[in-house]
Amino acid sequence: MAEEQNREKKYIPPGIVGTYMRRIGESDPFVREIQDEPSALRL
Amino acid sequence: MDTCTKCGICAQECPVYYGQPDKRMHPVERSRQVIRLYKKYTTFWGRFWSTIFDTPDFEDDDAELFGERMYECLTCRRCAAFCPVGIDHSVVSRVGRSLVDLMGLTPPALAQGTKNSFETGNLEGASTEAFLDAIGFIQEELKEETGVDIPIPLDKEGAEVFFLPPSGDVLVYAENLMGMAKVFYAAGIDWTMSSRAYDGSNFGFTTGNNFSMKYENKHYVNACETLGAKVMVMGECGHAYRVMKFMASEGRWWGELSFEITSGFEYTAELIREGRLTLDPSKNAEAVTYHDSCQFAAGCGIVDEPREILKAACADFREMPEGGYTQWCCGGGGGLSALRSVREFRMHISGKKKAEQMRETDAKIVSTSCLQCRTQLKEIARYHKMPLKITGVHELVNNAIVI
Repeated sequence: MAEEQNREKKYIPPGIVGTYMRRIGESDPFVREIQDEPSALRL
Repeated sequence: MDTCTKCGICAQECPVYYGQPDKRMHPVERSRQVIRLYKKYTTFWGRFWSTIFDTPDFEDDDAELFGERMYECLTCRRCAAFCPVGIDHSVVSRVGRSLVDLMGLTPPALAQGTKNSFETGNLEGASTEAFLDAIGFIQEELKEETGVDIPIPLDKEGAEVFFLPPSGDVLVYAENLMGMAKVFYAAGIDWTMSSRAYDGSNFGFTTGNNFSMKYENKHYVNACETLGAKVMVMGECGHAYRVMKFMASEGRWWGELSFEITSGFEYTAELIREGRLTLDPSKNAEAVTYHDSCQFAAGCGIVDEPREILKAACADFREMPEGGYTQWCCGGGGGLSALRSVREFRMHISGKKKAEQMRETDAKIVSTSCLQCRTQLKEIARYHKMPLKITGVHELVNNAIVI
C-alpha cells in the first residue's frame, strides 16, 4: 500500500478528461450504439 | 444512474462484490467515479463547484487508480439483469474504459492486442505464414484422425459460408476449428475462411476503444463481402459476435450488409435439428457441464443452442448451477483473463463464485463458449487444484461427429 501511495502519478494532458466527458454529454457514439442494441439483453 | 435507488441488488449479484464485499468493489461506487466526472464537466453545478473548489478529476488525483477500478468490472451485465430499474453498470464501466484508453492507461496486454489487430489483423500478432502453417497442420491432423481429406478452404470466392473463428481457435485451441470443419464437411456446406481476416475477436470493444472496435469489425466485414459469401458464421468469441450481430448489423455502421450473420452455435444446432449431422454421444462419455459466457448469454441471448449441441454430442450433460442468461461470470470477463497482472484478483475475487460452482459440480468436463472464459476456467481449475477438463463446445462436437 505504501508503495502504491508513493507511486509516481502518470502525467495526463490537461483538458483531456473534460473534453471526453463533454463529448459523452453531447452524443458519444459508443454509448449510443450500446443503448441502441436491439436485443442485446434478452431477459 | 439518476434512477438508481441504492437498493444494493446489483452488489448482491455482482461476482466481483461477491469475492470482496467492500465499498471499492461495489458496482454503484465504481460507476459513481465516472458519473462524477460526467457531472463535473457537463452540468452547471458540476462546473460551478469544481471552479470554486478546484476538485481533482480522480480520487486521490490518481488516474491510474481510476483505470484499475474500471478493470475491476467484468462487464458481464449480471447487475443489469437484476437491477429493478435496469441500470447496466457495464455500459458505465465501458465509458470509463474509453477515457482510460484515451489517457493511455489501458492495461498493456490489452493495448498490445489491440495494436496487433491493427498491424496484423489478429490479436496475437501472428504472421500470415504462421496462420497458413497452422491451417496446414490442422488439415493433417484431420486426415490422420479420420482418414478422410477434410479441407479447410481459404479465400474461396463465391462460397456460401465465410467462417470466422477467433485466432485462438486456429493457433491455440485447434479442436474447435477441427469441429467446425467436420460440421461443414459432414453437412456438405460450401465454406471458406480468409487468409486476411481470420481473427473474429474484438479487443476494441473490450477496451472501450471505439475506433479499434469498428476497425476490427470492418476488417472482417470487408473479407466476407470480398469473398461474396452469403452467410458469416462466427466462432467461439462472444465480444466479436455481439459487436457484429447487434451493433454493426442492420445498416447501423456499414449500410446494409450483403450477408447474414450467425454464430457457430446457432449454425450447428440448426444442422442438428435438420438431421444433417450424426453425433455419437458415447465419444464424450464423461459428465459435461456448460458455462455460459457473458457476451453470448447476457449479451446475445445465445443460451439454448450450445445446450442443444452438447446434449446431442455428450452422453451425460448436466447443468451448471444458476446457468443461462443470468449466469455468474467466470471472473475473467471484459478482457481480464488476458491480464496476468490481475491473476490473484481473478482467482480469489472475481472468479470466487465460479470456482465454488466448479467445485460443486460433479461433472468432469466444463465446456464453454468463449475463448476468454476458457482461459480463465482453465486457470481456476489449475490454481484451485480441481481435476476438471475445460473445453470449447465444438471441441466436443469434434470428438462426437460421425464422418
